[in-house]
Amino acid sequence: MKKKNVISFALFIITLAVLPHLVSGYWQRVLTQTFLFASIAVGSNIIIGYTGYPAFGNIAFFGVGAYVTGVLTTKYNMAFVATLPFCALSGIVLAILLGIPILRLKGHYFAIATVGVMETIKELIDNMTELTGGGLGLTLPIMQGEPEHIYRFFYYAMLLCMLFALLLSYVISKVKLGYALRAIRVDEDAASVMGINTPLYKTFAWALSASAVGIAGGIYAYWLSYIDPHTVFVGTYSVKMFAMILLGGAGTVMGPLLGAFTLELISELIWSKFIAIHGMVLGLLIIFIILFIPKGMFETFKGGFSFRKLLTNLRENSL
Amino acid sequence: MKRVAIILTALVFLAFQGISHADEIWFGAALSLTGKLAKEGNLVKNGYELWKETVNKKGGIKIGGKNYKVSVRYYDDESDPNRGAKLVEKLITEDKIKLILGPYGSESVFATSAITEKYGAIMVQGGAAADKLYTRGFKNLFGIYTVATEYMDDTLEMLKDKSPKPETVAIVYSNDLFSAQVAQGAKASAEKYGYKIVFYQDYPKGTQDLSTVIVNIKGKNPDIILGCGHFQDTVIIVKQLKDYKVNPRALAFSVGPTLSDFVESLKGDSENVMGSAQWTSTLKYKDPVFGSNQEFVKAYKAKYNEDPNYHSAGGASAAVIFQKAIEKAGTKDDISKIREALSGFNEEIIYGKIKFDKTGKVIGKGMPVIQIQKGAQRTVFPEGVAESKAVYPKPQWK
Amino acid sequence: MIILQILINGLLLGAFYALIGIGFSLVWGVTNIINLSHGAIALLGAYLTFFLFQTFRLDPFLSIPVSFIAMFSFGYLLQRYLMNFVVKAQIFMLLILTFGLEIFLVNFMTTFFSADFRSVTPSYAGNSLVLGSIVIPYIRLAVFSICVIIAVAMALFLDKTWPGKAIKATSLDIEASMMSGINPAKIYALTFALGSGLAGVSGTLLTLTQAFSPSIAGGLTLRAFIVSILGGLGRIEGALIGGLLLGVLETFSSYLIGESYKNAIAFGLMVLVLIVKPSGLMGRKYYAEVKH
Repeated sequence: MKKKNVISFALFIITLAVLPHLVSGYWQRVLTQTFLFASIAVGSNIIIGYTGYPAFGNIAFFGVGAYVTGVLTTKYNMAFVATLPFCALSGIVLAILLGIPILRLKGHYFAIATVGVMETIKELIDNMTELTGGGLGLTLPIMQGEPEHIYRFFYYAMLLCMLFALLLSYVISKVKLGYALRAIRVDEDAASVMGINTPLYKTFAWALSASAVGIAGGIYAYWLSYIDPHTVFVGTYSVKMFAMILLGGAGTVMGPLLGAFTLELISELIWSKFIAIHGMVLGLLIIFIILFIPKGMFETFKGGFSFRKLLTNLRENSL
Repeated sequence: MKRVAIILTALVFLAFQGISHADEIWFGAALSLTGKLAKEGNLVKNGYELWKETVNKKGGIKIGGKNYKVSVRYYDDESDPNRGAKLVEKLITEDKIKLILGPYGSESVFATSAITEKYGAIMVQGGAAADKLYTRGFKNLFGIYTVATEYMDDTLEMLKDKSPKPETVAIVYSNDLFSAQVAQGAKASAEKYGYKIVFYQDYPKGTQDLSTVIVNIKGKNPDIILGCGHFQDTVIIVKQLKDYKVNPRALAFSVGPTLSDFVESLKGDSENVMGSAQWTSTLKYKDPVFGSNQEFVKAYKAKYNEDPNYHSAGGASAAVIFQKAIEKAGTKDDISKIREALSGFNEEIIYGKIKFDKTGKVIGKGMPVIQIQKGAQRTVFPEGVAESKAVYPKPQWK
Repeated sequence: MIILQILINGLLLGAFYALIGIGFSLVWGVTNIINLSHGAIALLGAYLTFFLFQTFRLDPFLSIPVSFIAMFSFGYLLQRYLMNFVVKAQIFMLLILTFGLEIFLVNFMTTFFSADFRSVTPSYAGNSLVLGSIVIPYIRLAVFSICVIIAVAMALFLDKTWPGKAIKATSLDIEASMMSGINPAKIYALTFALGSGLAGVSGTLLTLTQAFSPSIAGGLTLRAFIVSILGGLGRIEGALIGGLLLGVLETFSSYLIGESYKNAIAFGLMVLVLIVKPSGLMGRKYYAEVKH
C-alpha cells in the first residue's frame, strides 16, 4: 500500500471508531448495517472477485452462521462471543465439503449450484424444528444493559468483523494464494498447467470467504435477536452483495467496501426521498451499474468523470 | 477516499435534525408501506389516519385541560423487520418520539418492540397476533389482537354443538411462526372440545400446490377441515378441495375469508367457508372517539371509499386506546404513567371490551366467527353478535 | 390406487412447471443469459389475464395468445435495448442485470397492481373428471394439454422453420452463424422474446390454479431453475421431461416423506444433478454447453 493510502485508510477507520459518540442511535444502526454488508461483500469478493467464481448463494454461509449463534446461545447457553469462532468454522467446514464437488462447476452452473445449496440448507433448517425452531424461528437471548451501550457493542462488533474481512482479503491479495487465485480467474487451465493445485486453492479461497460471511451472520443473529429461515437466507442480500462488489470494483481489496458504503448510503437517501417507488429506483440503480460502470466507479472514473466513459462498456459488450 | 469522507460528513449533518414539539403530540409508526406486507401495512395506516383526523376535528387530545393536536410520523419498513427496527430507533432517537404505534405483522412487531423496550418508549399495536410477543417479559408493549393460539377456539366451540355432530378434524398449516401457533392452539382446542384429530400436517410457506395433502385428507374423510395459513394458501386449498371433491361438513380458515379479496378470487366457491375474525363491521360496540362501530364504518367508507376490515379497525383501535391512556395518565411524556394507565385499561371500543393481562396482551376479546353467505361476510358466532345462523353442514361441491 | 392419483397429480403439476421451464431454458441455452426476471415476466402475463377477465370477462384460456404476444414484444424490446448492451460481458453481469430488472418489475407491479393476492375463478372451475376413485380436474387437464402442445409446437418451430434453425445455429456457433448471414443480435432478441412469451403464457395458466401476487416471482424463477437443470439446457424435450419429473418428485416426496420436505428434496436433487451430470438428465453436449 502506498503511504498516502495508508494514512487515508487510518483516518477513515478512526472516524468510524469515533462516530458512535457523535451520531444518534439511528445512524449507528445504519452504519452497523453498512458494516454488515461490507463484511459480506469484502468476504465474498475473495471467491467472486479474486477467483472469478460467481458464488450467488454465498449468503448460505451467512444464514448458517446466524443459526450457529442462534442454536449455541439458546440450546447450549453459550456466551455470544464464544459462538463466533464456531460461525467461522461452520463456514469453513461447509465450504470445504461443498467446494470439493461444486467448485468443479464453472460459470452459471456454479452460480446455480450455490443457489441450490442455499435453498436446500434453508429448507432443511425450516424442517429441523427441534433444533432450530423451524418456521417458528429462534429467539436469542437479548443483551442486557443500556441501549447506548448495546448499540455501541454491535457497532464495534460489526466494525471489527468488517476489519477482519478486510484484513483477510488484504493478506490474501499479497501472498501466493492471491496470485494463484488471480491466475485461476484469468485462465484456470493455464494455471493448472503452471503447477497450481487449482482445486485446493479454490476450496481454500471459498473457505476463507465463508468464514468472514459466517461471522457476519452470527453477529447479525444476536443483533436482531429473532431469526427465522426467511430472514437470514435472503436472495436479495446476495444481489445487493454482488451490486456492491461490482460498484466498487471486483477483485480489489477496497472496492467492495466502498461499494457497500456507497450503495447502502445511497439506498438510505433514496428510500427517505421516494417512499412509494424506492424499490423501483433500487432496481434501476442496479441496472444502471451493470450497464455503465460494471468495472466499478473508482476504476471507471479514474482521472475524472465523463459521459464517454459511461458508454465504453456498452460499446465493448454489445453484439 | 475523498468521496467517502464527503458522504460521512453529510451523514453526521443529517443526524442532527429533529422536529419541533409545540402544542402537538407526536406519534410515530414504521409500517410496511411497500413490499410483501404493503397491503396490510397501508390498511393499518388508514386506521391511524382516520383516528388522527377524527381526534383533531374534536380539538385533539386533552392532557391536563390543554388540547394537543395529533401528528403521526410515518416511515416505510419495506416489509423488512430489521429495517423496521432501524426506523423505530430513528423515531425514538432522532425524532424524539416515544409514543409508537405498532406496525403490521408478527415479525415486525417482534423486532420493533425490542427497540421501544430498550429505549423505554411505549408501543400499542393492532397488527400482530403471535403469542411469542408476550413471553419476553416486556413491560412497554400492548396488543389488541387475540393471540394466535386462540384463533380457532371459537370456531371449534361453535361447531361442537351442531348436528350432525362433527367428530373428526383435519388441520393443515403453513410452516411459519404465526400459522404454526394457530395450528398448535387449534389442536389444543380440538382436544379440549373432544374432537378426534385425524390429520395434522404442515406445508412450506408460500407453496404453489397442495394436491397431495388434499388427497391424503380425502382418505381420512374428516368432518371439519381447518386451514391455518395465509391468503394464497387458503385460495389453493379451497380450489383443490373442490377439484378433488373433498366435502367436509365445515371448512374454516384462520386467514382469508375475512378479507374482501376472498370472495373476489374464489367467486361461488367461497360460499359457506368460515373464518375467524379479530373484528367485523357489524359488531355493535360503542367507542369513545368514533361514537360506535357503525359510525366508524361509515366514517371509514366516507374517507377511503371502501369497507374497512380488521386491519384498519385494529390500527384505529390501538390508537384510540393509546389516546385514552394518555388522557387518563395526564401526561404525554411520562412513559411509566402511560404504561400504568394502559395496564388498568378497561373500556369498550370498536374492537370490543378491551383489557390487558400482565404481559400486555388483550384478554377475553375472543374471535367472532364469520361465514361467507351469498357472497358476503356474515357474523355467525358468538350468538350475542351473530347476524345470521351458520350454514351447517356445508353443502357438497356442485 | 392412491399412488396412481399422486402420479397423475404430479404430472398435471409438472406440465405447468415444464412450461415455465421451457422459456427459461431456451433463453439460457441459446443466449447464455440466466433470466432472473423470468418469474416477474410470467406474472406480467398473469396480471394481463387477470385484468382482461376482470374488465371484459375474457376467458383465461382465450387470453393465452394475448399474453403471448404482449410478453413476446416486451421480451424483444428488453433484449434488443437492454440485455444486448452487456451480452458479451462476464456472465454474472447479466445475472445481476436481470435481477435488477426483477426487483424493478416486482416493485412496479406492487406499486401499480398492489400487493393483493389475485386469482381467476371462471364458472367451470372445480369440475373434474371422475374415473372410479381417480379424480382429474378439468382445468388442470387443460393446462397439461396446453403445455404439452406448446412444447411440441416449440420443438417443431426450432427444427422445421428458418428462424428456428437460425436460433439453433446461433446457439451452436455464433461466429459461423454470422458468416452465414444471421444477425445474432436479432436472433438473441427473438429467442428472448419467445422465452418471455412462453413465460407470459405460463402466467396466464397460473391464474387458474393458484393465487398470485408480485411476491411469488422469485419462487417461479427458482422452479424454472430446477426444471432447466434437471432436463438439460436449451432442449425443449429436456424442459418438458424436467418439469414433469419435478412435479412427480414433489407430489411423491410430499406423499412419502412429508409436504414440508418437498422443496428441500427438489433443490437437493438439483444440486446433485449439477454435480453428477451438469448437462442435465436429458442433456447432451448441445446448446451453449461450451460457453462459460
